[in-house]
Amino acid sequence: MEKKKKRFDLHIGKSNSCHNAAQIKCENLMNEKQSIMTLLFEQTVKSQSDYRTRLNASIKCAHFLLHQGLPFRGHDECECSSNQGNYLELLHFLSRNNEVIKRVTFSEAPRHNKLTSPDIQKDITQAAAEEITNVIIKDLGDSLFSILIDESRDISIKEQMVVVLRYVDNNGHIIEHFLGIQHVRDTTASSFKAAIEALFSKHGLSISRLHSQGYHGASNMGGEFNGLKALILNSNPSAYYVHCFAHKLQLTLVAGTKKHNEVGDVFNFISSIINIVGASCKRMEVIREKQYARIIEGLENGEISSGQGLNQETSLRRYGDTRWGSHYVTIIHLLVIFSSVLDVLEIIRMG
Amino acid sequence: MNSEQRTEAVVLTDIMESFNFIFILHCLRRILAVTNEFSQALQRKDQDIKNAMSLLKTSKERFKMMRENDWESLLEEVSSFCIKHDSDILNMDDEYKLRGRSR
Repeated sequence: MEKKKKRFDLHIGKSNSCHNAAQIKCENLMNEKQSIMTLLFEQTVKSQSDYRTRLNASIKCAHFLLHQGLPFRGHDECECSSNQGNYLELLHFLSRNNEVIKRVTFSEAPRHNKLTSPDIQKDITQAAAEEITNVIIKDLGDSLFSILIDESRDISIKEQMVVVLRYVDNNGHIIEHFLGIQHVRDTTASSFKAAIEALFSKHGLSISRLHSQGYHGASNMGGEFNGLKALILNSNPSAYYVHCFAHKLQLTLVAGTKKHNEVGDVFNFISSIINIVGASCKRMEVIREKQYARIIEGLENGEISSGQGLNQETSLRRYGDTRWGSHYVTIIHLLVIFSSVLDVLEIIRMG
Repeated sequence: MNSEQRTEAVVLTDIMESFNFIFILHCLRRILAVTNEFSQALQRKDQDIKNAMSLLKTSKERFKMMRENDWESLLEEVSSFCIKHDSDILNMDDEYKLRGRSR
């Protein structure tokens, strides 16, 4: 017996003996919680939920910026920058004020998975745009619709085409929805047509469902034979063309003011007045001061009444031929500050 | 202050104080008030072509009314504006003189 015990102890040996090593391995193997597979799996569950939190935070920031129409990027986005641009700053703000988000964003996030890169921002924006157009297309359903199109070049000197859908929804309301901007190579009618076809096929619409079209009257758009209007009428004869009425009115107005000599003169004089009086901040400041004094005086004398939105600070407004209603605003403003303008002219005259 | 600007200021002051300028400003304000309202109405999203045509008709009628009835009140308005700003009021009974040299 004694000999057997001794033999057994010999088998166990010191702490680094084969037996002990095997025993530890065995215990480790039996302990399921410590298994690599389990650990890996747990890690995935955790990183998955972290990822979701992080993604949600990113989407929230993008949603806010999109809703307010703010730019995402900043001038200097490195970590040492004092202002990293709207998107990153908003995310910083969110993580500072929310413990759950703070635990998974920025320095706490894996370096390859921060969800803050420009690509991610663009992806999220793209997804938001698609969601919105999907809602519009779904609301449109199978009903007929009309399109309103205009084109303009953007800040990077690319010709962009704007498409607005107009339809009657299920409740009988007339709905106008901005569908999207499409880049076109040039402003010929055929490239517009191609762009429209591309946009339509992307959203599952068809030209045969058009019942009217509305553009401004330039020849590439409203031209009788080769305009966009004619090209679309070729494929769908019932897409009636309506020249934008408000645009027409403005065109008539501008042409009218230019044709009538006296009225044209008056507008030219107004231009000169705005040029000379609005030339310097100093002169505009004088106008504001004079006008302020006049309003105070008028209020005290009871000549003008006070109220919300009345007696606001008025400045000279320049009119533009393509700005609808701007001639009217210019005249109203000039009449309001007429005497102040005369005062400033006197100051200039006196040198 | 350069002399060019001074001259311009002199000319512009004369023009601004002239009856003609003030009259046209007030006249245009009345006309453009109508067209502006019309333009705003046309820009409404739920506007349809039938309604737009009737709006056009109304606007034309308002112009007609203005032409027929509002002369007195316009003259009154311009005159009071002229008095307020120390400009000469044109006597409508004076002989009408064309611009340019007399022959």
